Amino acid sequence: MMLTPRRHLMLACVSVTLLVCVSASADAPKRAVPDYDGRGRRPTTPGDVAIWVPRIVFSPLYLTSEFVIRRPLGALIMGAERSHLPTILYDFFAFGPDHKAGFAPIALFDFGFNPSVGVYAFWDDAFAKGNDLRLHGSTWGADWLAGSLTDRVQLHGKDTLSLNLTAVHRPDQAYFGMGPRSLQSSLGRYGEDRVDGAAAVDVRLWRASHVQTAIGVRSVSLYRGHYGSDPSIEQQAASGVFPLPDGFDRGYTAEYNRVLLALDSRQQRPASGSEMRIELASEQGNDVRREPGSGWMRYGATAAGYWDLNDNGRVVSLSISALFADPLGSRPIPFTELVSLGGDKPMPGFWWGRLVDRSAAVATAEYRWPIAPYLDGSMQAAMGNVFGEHLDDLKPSLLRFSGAIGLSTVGPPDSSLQLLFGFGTETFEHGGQVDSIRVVLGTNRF
Amino acid sequence: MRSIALLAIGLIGCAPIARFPLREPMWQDSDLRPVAVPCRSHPSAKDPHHVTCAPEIYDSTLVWDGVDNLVFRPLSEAFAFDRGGEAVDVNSLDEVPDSSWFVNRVEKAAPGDPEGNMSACDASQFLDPQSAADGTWVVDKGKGDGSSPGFRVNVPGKGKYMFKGEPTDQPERPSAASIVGAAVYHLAGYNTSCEQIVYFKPSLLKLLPGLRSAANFGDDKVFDQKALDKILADSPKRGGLVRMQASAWLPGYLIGPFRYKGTRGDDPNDVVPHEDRRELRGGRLLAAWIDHFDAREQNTMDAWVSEHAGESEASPGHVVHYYLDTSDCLGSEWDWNEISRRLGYSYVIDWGDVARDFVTLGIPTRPWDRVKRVPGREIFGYFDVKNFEPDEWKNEYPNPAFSRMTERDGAWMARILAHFTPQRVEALAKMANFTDPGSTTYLASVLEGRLERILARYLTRLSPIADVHVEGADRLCGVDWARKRAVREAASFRYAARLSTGRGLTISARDGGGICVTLPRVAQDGRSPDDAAERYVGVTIDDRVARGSLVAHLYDLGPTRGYRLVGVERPNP
Repeated sequence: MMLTPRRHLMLACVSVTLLVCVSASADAPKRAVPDYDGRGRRPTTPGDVAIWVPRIVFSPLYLTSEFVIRRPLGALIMGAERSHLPTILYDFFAFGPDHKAGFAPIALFDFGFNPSVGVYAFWDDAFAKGNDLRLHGSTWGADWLAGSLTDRVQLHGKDTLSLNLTAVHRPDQAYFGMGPRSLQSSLGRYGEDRVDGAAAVDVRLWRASHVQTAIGVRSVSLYRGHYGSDPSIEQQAASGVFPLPDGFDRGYTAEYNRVLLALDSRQQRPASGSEMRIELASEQGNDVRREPGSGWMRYGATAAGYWDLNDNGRVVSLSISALFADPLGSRPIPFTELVSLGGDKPMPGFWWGRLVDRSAAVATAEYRWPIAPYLDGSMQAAMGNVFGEHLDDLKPSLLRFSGAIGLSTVGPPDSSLQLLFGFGTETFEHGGQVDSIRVVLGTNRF
Repeated sequence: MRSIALLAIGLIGCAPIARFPLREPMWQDSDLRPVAVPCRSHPSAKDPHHVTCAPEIYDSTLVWDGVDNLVFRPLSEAFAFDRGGEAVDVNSLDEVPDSSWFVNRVEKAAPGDPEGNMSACDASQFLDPQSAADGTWVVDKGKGDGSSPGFRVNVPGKGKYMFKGEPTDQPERPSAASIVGAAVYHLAGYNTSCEQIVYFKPSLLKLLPGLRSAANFGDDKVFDQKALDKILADSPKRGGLVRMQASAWLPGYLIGPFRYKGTRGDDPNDVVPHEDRRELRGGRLLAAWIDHFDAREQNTMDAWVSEHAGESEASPGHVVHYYLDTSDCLGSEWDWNEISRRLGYSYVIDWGDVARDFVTLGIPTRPWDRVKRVPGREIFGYFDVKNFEPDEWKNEYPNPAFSRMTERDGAWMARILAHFTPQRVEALAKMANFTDPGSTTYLASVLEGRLERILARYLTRLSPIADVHVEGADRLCGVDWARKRAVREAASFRYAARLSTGRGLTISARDGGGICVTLPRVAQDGRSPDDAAERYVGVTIDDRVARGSLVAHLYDLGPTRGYRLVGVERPNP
C-alpha cells in the first residue's frame, strides 16, 4: 500500500502517541512525594507567576531547543554510543598502531575568496620511527583544487629534514595594482596554478632559535581569473586601472634556495613569554624558463620584543619588519614573487595580495592572551605599506593601518584553526579611511 | 483587566506561609520501602529465557552526557527560564532525612575516635594478602571502562573486587584519592563502595584465560598475562609488594548510574527530581573540598536490593544510590597541562569563561594562572588551598544538581563538613597510606585549609547554628558551628535572641559552640489544643557573625510538657 505524505504524518503521530503511552504504562505507579517539612506545598509567589511571561514569549525557542534539537539529538548520539559508534569513528578517523595515523575534515572561509573544504591527514612514525607525514587537501569545485604533502624526518633531537610538495589550482586570487597607493576598488582576479617542491633542513638551536635552509622548484602559471562579478586582472588592465603585472599570462619556473636564521629566546608555556626574536631570511630564485637575467633575491629582517604582562601568556609584542625583493638581472620580478602584505603575512587586516611591490616596512603591535586551553585571543595593530625599490618613497603619509582581532589555536601549525576579523585602511595621505574588511574562519590557506 | 492581574499577584504575594505542624521532624524517608517492578522477559546470551523483575539497566553514555551538559541542557533551561528554587527533600529542621540516597551519619560518628566509621567497608571486607596463598586471588575479568587500567579479582571468602592501577606520573595519588574520597563521602552520609589500598605479592594472582578489557575509548583488547604484568609493573611498589586500589563489588543487582536530573521512571520510590535533592546539590561543596571534578553520572551507581535473598533481580525490592570512583580527587591531572591547570576552576569547555576572557582581553588574572605544583609534592598536581574559592569551584562539565545548589544547600553541607575535625582530617590523610610521610602531612594540611575556606564561606551567610533542640521544659539549645570551628575570633560572636513578638530573650554561650535560650511561658497546660495558634512561637537567634538569623519554631505545650521544637528556618539575610 502506498502511503501519502498525510498518511505518513498520521502514522508518525500515532506511533509517537503509542510510544508515549507504552513508555508511561511501563513505569510502575509512583509513591506520593512526601510532605518533608509538614507545611504542604509552598505558596505561589509573584515571581512564580511573573516568570510565565518570558516563558511564554520564549516558548518557541524552548520548544525548538528541547524537542527539535536536544531530545532527538540525544537519542541519536546515545544510540550511536551504545552501538559503539564513537569507537568506530575514533578508529575510522585515527587508525594504525597506537592510532598514530588519522584524518579530519577541514574548511576555510576567507571573505572575498572562494571558501574551501577538505581533509587533513597525519601519520606519525610512517614506515619508520621519526618519519611523520602530513597531507592537506582542499577543494571548492573542479577549478579550485589544492593539496600539500609533507614528509618530515627527525634527524637528531628536534632537527628535521622536510620534503614538501604543494599544488594549487584556483581562479580567485586578487591583485590590486602595484605600489603603496593601490586601491581596494582596483581589484582584479587572476587564476593561479602553482606546483612547489622543496626540501628543507631545520636545525633547532637554543630555545626557539633555529636555522632553516631549503632548496626547491616552483612552477607557476597565471591566467584570467574570476570570482563572482569581480573583473579579471585583464579587464582592469584594459580599463587602465593598472598595467598588466609582469609574470601574468606567461608564468615561470623558479628554482630557489632559502635560508632563515631566527634567534628566538622564547620558550613554550608555561614559561614566561617576555623574550625577543630576531629573524633574518633570504630567498634567491631564478626563472629557469627565461635565463639569463631573470633571477631575484628576496630578503628581510624582523626584530621583535615580547613582554609577558603577568608571566601567564598575556603577551604584548612590538615588531618591526623590513622586506625586500631585488632583481638579479635585467628582467623584472614576476609580481607573485614580489614583497606582499596582507593575508597571513604582516598586516592581516588586508586581503591576501592586497599590497605588492619591491619592498615593505611594517611595525606591528600585538597582544595575545589565553582564553581557553590551547586557544588564544589576539589583537593586532600594524602600520606600514609596500614601497618601491629599497623603501623608496617611504614617508609617514604613505603608511596604512591594519587592525585585527580574533582567536587562534595554540599548537603545531600543521592544523591550526583561526577566527579573525580585520580591517585595513587607505594611506594616510588618502584620508586613512577603512577600505578593506577581512573575515577568516578555518584552517590553513593555500 | 490590568487591575485584576495586579490584584491576583498581590494576593499571591500576601499568601501566608503555613506554620509548622505539631509533629516530629521527618528523619526517615519512605523510599526504602519494598516496591514491585513488573516482570518482563530479558533474554541474554547465557539465558535466552531470562526474566527480570528489577528496574531496567541504564546504560549511561559518555559523549552525550558531556555534550548535553556542556551545550544543550543549559540552553534549554535558559529558554525555559528555569529558576531552580529550593531543594525538595528537606525536613522541618532544614535537614535531609535518611533515605536510599543519604544517611545522617557524621553526627553519630564517635567524635573521640576520629578513625572510627570512616570507611564504608565492614570488617569482613578487608583483604588479607599476608595470609593468602599464591594463586588464590583469581583474576576473572578485565576492566570494562574508565581511564585507569584494572581487573576484577575474586577472593575466596571475600567476594569480588575491582583492582585499579595507577598512572606512573602521580604514583599513589589515585588509590589515595579513592580511599580518602570514599571515606569522606561515606562519613558525610552518602552510600559508597568499600575501598581499600592493598599491598600484595603478584604471585597471589591467577589469571583466567580468554579475558578482555576496554577503556573509555577504543576497542576492547585481550587481557592476557602481558596486560596484567604491565599494570603490575606500572603500579607503585613497597618492599616488593604491589600497591593497588581494591573496590569491593556493590551488593545487589546493579542497574547503572543515577542521573543528576529527573527521576528514574521505573523506580516507584523515586519521586523527587534528582536535581532538586539537597544531598545531590550540596554534594557540590563536598566535591569542591576534595576536588572531585569528575563528579558526573558515570561515577555513580544504582543497585536493586531484592527482598528475596539469592534472587537479585526479583521483586519486591528497593533501589540504593551510590557514589563511585573518586580517584580523580586530590589533584588528578589530565594529559594536557592547559586543562589540568583549570580543573576545579573552569569547565573543560566553559563558554562563560571563554567569553569573559575574550571580552576582558584576559586582563583579570584567573586562578589557573596562579596555580603551581608544590616542589616535592608533584603527585598532588594543582590541588592547593591558596587558589581555592569554594563558591567558584566547578567540576569537569556542568552537573544539573550542582548547578542548582542554593545558599541553603551549601550551608547544609558546610554544617556536615564542620564535623570533620582536624583530627578526623589527619586520620583521613593517614588512610592514604603514602610511602612518604611528607605526603600525608601535605594532604592533611591542604584538606584542612580547603575545609576552613568552605566553613568560612558557608557558615557566615546563613545561620550556622544547628543541632537545635529543647532541653528540659524551656531551654532552646543548639551549636554554633562557626564558633565551634573558629571561623572568626571568639569575641566576634555576640548573641541575641528574641521572640516573634519582639520580646528579647536571655541567651547564654557554652563551650564547644553551644548556646541556650531560656524561653518564657506563653501557654498553660491543657487550656487549648496542643496545636493551637497561641501556643506557637518563633525564636530568632543571631550570632552577629553570620548575616542571617536562625528562626526556631516551637509549640509551648505548657509547664508540664514544656516546649516542642517543630521547625527551623535560616532565612536569607
